[in-house]
Amino acid sequence: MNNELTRRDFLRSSALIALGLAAPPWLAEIARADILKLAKGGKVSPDNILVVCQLSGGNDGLNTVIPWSDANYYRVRPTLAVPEDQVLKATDDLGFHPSMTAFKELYDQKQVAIVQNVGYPNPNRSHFRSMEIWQTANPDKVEAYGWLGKYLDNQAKAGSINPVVAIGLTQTTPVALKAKQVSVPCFASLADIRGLIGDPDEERRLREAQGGMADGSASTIREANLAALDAMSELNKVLQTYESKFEYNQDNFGRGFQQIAQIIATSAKTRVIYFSAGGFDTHSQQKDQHARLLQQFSDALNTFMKEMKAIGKAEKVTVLVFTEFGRRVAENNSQGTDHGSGNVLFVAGPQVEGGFIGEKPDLVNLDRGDIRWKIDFRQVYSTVLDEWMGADSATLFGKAFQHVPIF
Amino acid sequence: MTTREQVGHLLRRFGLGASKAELDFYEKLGVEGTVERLVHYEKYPLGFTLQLGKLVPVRDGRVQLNPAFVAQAWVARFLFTERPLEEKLTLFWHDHFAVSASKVTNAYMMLQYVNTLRAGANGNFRTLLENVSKDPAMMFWLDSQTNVAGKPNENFAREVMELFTVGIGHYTEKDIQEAARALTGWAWVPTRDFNRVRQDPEALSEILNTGAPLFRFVQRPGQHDNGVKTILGQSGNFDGDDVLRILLEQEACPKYLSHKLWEWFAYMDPEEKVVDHLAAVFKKNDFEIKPVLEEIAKMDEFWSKKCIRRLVKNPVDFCIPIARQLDIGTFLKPLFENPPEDAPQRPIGGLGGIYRAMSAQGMQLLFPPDVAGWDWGEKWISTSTMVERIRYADIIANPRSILVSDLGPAIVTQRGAKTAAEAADALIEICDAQISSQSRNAVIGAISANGGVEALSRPQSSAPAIQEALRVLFAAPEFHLC
Repeated sequence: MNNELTRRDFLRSSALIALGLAAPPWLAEIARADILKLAKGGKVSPDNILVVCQLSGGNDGLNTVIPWSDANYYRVRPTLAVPEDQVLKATDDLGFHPSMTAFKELYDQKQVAIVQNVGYPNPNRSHFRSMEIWQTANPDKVEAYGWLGKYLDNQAKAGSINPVVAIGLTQTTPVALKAKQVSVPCFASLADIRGLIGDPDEERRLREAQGGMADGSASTIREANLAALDAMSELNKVLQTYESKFEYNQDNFGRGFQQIAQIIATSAKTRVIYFSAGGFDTHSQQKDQHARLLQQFSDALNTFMKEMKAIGKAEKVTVLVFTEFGRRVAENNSQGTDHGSGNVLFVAGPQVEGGFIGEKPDLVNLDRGDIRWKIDFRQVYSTVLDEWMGADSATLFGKAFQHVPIF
Repeated sequence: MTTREQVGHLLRRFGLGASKAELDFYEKLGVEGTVERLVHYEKYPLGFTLQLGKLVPVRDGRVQLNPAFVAQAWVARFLFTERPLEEKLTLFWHDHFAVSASKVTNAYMMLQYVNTLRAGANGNFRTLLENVSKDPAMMFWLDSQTNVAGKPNENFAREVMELFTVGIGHYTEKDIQEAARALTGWAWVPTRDFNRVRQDPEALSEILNTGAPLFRFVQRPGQHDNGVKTILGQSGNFDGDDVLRILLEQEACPKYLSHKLWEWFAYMDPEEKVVDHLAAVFKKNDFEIKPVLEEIAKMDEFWSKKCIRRLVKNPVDFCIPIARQLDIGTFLKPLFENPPEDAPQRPIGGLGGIYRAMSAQGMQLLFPPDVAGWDWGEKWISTSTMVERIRYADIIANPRSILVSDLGPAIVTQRGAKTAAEAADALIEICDAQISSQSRNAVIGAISANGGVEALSRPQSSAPAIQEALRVLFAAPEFHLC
């Protein structure tokens, strides 16, 4: 993994880009070849599926993966710290929040990689900017297209792309899925699809109403409408061919993962599914709400994994779980936590190397009260894109990032 | 442009769409008269009195007010008001000072918050900022009540800078921490009206109409940090009022607000000179809001091709004008002004559908997604929200509604439509639409396929044609621009 030559090349190539100079082609080629080599013998397959689960609001990583052996944790969190005897212990230092028994079960089955101290240079503590940074994979400037959008655009270069290759289970299109060429269909709920498509004559007229050419926002609207019509006619044919036998809780996570399972079970062409759930911005009275959310998330992920196994898809699915930032190490006076930076991130699925990646969080040497980041989130994205989706992240991001041993 | 066309542009931006009745009325006032009437709305009558107390559910002598009822009462105002800019501005401030009932579950607090926004919507931003900052819903939303000396909570301090006044990049993390210290000691208490209103539906009607406060702001000196703070270069034993004052003194503040107002009323991503010009007007008028609105309506850029019918409608811009153009308000108004004694004890009949449609399209009143409010422009557009917009036809043209059974025959008899094409054109005109010829053909096709003018002319058979014609019209890309 830690090929010294490769890393040095990476550093040189990124330094050149930082200077505004294009990397010489031979250097870029070497970096790319190394990335592909790293992926070699890996788990890339053309029908691999990536599920991205966004925890909106800034999940409190310290009360999710708990450094229970660290006295500093109990010192800075007098009311919020989880008592040592309640922590679901995973290692001699770390364990999970007591409401995450279902998650712990996956961890024990070596199905979860937990990447620690993840962040990016000059952490931004604004929800909106930090979320944008994570979704565009660019901390340096505001970008219109997302990291998955760039991946999809690159796929589209190779030829026509299926209208449901990526699906968002979101009401608005997250910038992560925004692409130059590809319009990703997003639905708040799969039930929306059945309401509109049915009569072929009416569908024809709805398409006719899109007109020929349009410019400006009208063209964006036209693309969204056509993407919706294309995705709906595609999905409408298949969605009803499978009925889940698994019971999910009726909360945002339960409903979300149930629909993700429905898509995977029926839509063979779909490779990226994006889902988000909120409520993690726990500035006050954090304890109960956070416990509830962690339980909902853990239960849903666990049931989903079971369902994937039952339908023979488990080996094809990897779930990436992220949030825009961690929270302040010390609790505030409202029994809550303010915005922070470095945090934990999860990658789940039978194909990951289960366990902890990176050091346990350092609660003493802080950056303005927050955990210092040690692993750039783009290292995780690059690993997943290259070693799971068979992409070339150095091209997509204009820069190669050292991989982390997730797979 | 004819006066009528100019008035149409003003109504789409400073009003709640251009219905035929409003076009007829404002056209007589001319462009200047229309701007005056819209902007200085406090001088003119509302045009309705809501008796919502008779509609609110009561159980065991207690009023059962929930945020959805408050939101639907607001939808009623959107439909009935003769001061359309008042509601459009209140919505702007709801977006700007976004507070969500997802956390502030107390419906009375949310009611007072909307009243605070409405009361100050076209007044002075300085006053509005102060009133909203000290509004209990805002204080609860951003944890001001637990921001106390020695243990500051940064939530409000951060957002008042990032989102309410100067915008990101015009302060440091240190400024936030210091401002949070200055803001310590803010709290609220319930007023006598709060207890009265929960027992008495009549009192609720009164509060809904007058906006009398149910909670009031108090300062708790014992919880205030009396140390010296340094905020944006100024030092002193500052309190929360000083924080607001210092923020309003920043050059970035009038610019930030002008940029946002321009994007709400004119177009996204304005040129720097447009923003600078408006910011100067804002500053010169000491944060008075009306002169800025009048200036927007005067500027060449507002009347340019880049502006007219080029802005993506938000879900309120989309749903409310259609309802007003189809006269749903007139049909519902008597129910609200003079509810029958046996009025159903459930959330407001007829408005729930519109409220839910706007929510599904991405704008749930009283429930903005987060403290940054909603994203505008093309951010309103996604496959999901567009599907919901097309399906708004099913809500408006519910086959059981009296409206639909009236609309078809009205198009045939009053407007004299003799062919499917003439009926389509009448519908397009009623909805103030400008769409491509292909879209128009699709609307004609929808009417023909559902029995044509023949079916439209009879109340009992007109619904399917209206419903599909509206679906197809709502699928036309240009229809979503205003």
